[in-house]
Amino acid sequence: MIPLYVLVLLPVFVATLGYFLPRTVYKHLLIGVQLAHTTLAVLAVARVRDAGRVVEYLGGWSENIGIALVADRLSITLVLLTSTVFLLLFLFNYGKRYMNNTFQFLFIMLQGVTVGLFLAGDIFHVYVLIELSMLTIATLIMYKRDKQALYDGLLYVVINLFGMTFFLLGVGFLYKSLGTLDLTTMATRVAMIENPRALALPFALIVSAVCLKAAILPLFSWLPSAHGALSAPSAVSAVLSGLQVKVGLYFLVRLQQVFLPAFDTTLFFFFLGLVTAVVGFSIALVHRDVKLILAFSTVSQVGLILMGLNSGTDAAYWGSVFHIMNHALFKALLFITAGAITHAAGTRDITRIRNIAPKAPLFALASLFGVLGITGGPFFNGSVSKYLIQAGLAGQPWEPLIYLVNLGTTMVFVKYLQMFLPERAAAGERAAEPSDVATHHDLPRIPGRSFAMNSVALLMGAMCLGGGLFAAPIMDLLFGHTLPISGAFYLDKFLIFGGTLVVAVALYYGVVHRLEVLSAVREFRFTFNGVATLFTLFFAVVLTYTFLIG
Amino acid sequence: MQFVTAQNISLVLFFIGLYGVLTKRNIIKTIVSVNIMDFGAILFLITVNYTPGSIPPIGDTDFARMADPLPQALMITAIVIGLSVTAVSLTIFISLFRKHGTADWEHVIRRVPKR
Repeated sequence: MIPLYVLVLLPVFVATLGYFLPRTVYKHLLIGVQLAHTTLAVLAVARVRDAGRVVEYLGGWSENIGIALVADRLSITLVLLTSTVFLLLFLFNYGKRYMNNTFQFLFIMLQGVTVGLFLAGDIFHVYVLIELSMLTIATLIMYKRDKQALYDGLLYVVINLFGMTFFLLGVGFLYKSLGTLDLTTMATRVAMIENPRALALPFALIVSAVCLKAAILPLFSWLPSAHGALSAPSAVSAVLSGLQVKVGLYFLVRLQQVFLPAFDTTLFFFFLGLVTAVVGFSIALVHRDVKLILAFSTVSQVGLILMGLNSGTDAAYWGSVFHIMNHALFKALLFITAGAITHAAGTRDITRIRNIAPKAPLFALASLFGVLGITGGPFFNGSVSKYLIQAGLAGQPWEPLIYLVNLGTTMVFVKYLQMFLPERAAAGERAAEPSDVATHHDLPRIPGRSFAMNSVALLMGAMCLGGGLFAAPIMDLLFGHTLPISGAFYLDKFLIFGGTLVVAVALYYGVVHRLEVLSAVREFRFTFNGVATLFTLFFAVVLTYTFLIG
Repeated sequence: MQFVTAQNISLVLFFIGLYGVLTKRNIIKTIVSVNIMDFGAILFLITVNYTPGSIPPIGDTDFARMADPLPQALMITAIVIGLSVTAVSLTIFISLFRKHGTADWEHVIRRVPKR
């Protein structure tokens, strides 16, 4: 039996010790480590499935004193997901020029830290790991020297540092009132507190910082600039959107569970999720930059997941957890294919990229699989998780809102799929800019397309499809949740998906496409002080709300 | 009731820092303000379980009179983290200043190309 801390320390240790090896040796060593890591993660999943919750205290200390690593079904699944996605992205990067030792070191560090975050059972441990992941990410998003996005990096670091001071003060208040930092012990002590209002301040302090990590409205303004940074390699954007945002969501759910005896915030976060989802896709519809569209679509998906997690039913909860996994896969896939496509086109403007299918057939196919996944196309993984969230909400008055969120996502990707259109279809809008014509016609074949990139993209596309086809056994294996699916389910899905698609195409080309006012939204940016003020206001709202219901 | 306690001072520090973050447009001042907030939080945690007359938790001492060792151990980590994150943000700031020639958040925004 392998102890849990191996999962955290293995990548970190090997990456540190081998740092001075020659580049190619180091690369193959790290691939070996990642394969081993994925195997260990699979073993750990099997162990948690047999033994239930596994808790380990580090350094031989007793309960409540030592730092705990906790693995339950949710966290170990996320560990396996992290391990798989990092392995695939590392392989995708295999032949890239920027893959020097420093990049590989930081990338593998981030893997260890992310796994550590999912296993952490101690709130101070979480603080340390979040700060560590923040430093790693800040370096990674500014990695490509030639077009350094310094502003994006600085905004990311300072706003997160600002948020984490709230977190630290919250930890202080919690330690003062509960006398423990261990999340499990904390949950039992919260139940014993007579006046829940005493916990409103620490809860609000910590939850605001966690919501900043999860990019929930109105705290998402740092996300697009960090995830869509010009200097970020697409594999890094993929990790940020696919996994790092989920860290925030995961801790939000954990904290809500710990504080449940004191206050029930599910309704609050359900509606916050709804607003986040709607605002996320609305802004994604406005933007033209491919990476920004994907980044804002992440905001909208976070909102959807938050809605499912807080809807109070079992089906929607596990549906959301499944959606976390699915989103990590298809968003990572979309980011890496978008990276290659925009690189070849020489522009990131979606209105100027056309006809990619014949130029990069494999990438186009993989990209299409990703789009089908995220819009919930029949037989794809997104359809199952979205169906579960919807089924969990059935009978509640806000069930139709799920269709609205779905329609928005579909509209965003109708826009995204413009790049598959033949050149002619876009002739009307291009007539006004004759100087650009040259760039469309000789779109070069995508350079640097290697065997590794093609196979990883196709593999991830296949995983999106496989996740949908084998959803029932996967969910049974990982979560122990049986999926009620009948034959009529697929027919139903076909009709809903087709209907949504038709409405989305009509709405996008009929209305959204023609609106001129939207460019104002595209130009708008929050200043740093604006973001900080929004954060403080958010904190005040959470504090007031928890104080009132406490 | 004594008002000038370490707890109150730490909270006052936190809010002074918060004021700086919310109102100052200068990037250096923002980083300094965030650090003041950080120190406020750290001071708060160190003094959480402090009782007057307790002795430092070092070496083989009288356990009954010893101050709570946990926050002190944790805060050493927090101080180191604060230092390194500040160092990184100042490094990014120096490069940013060389590139855009300003230390004002709003001027920087205007000089970064729109997408």
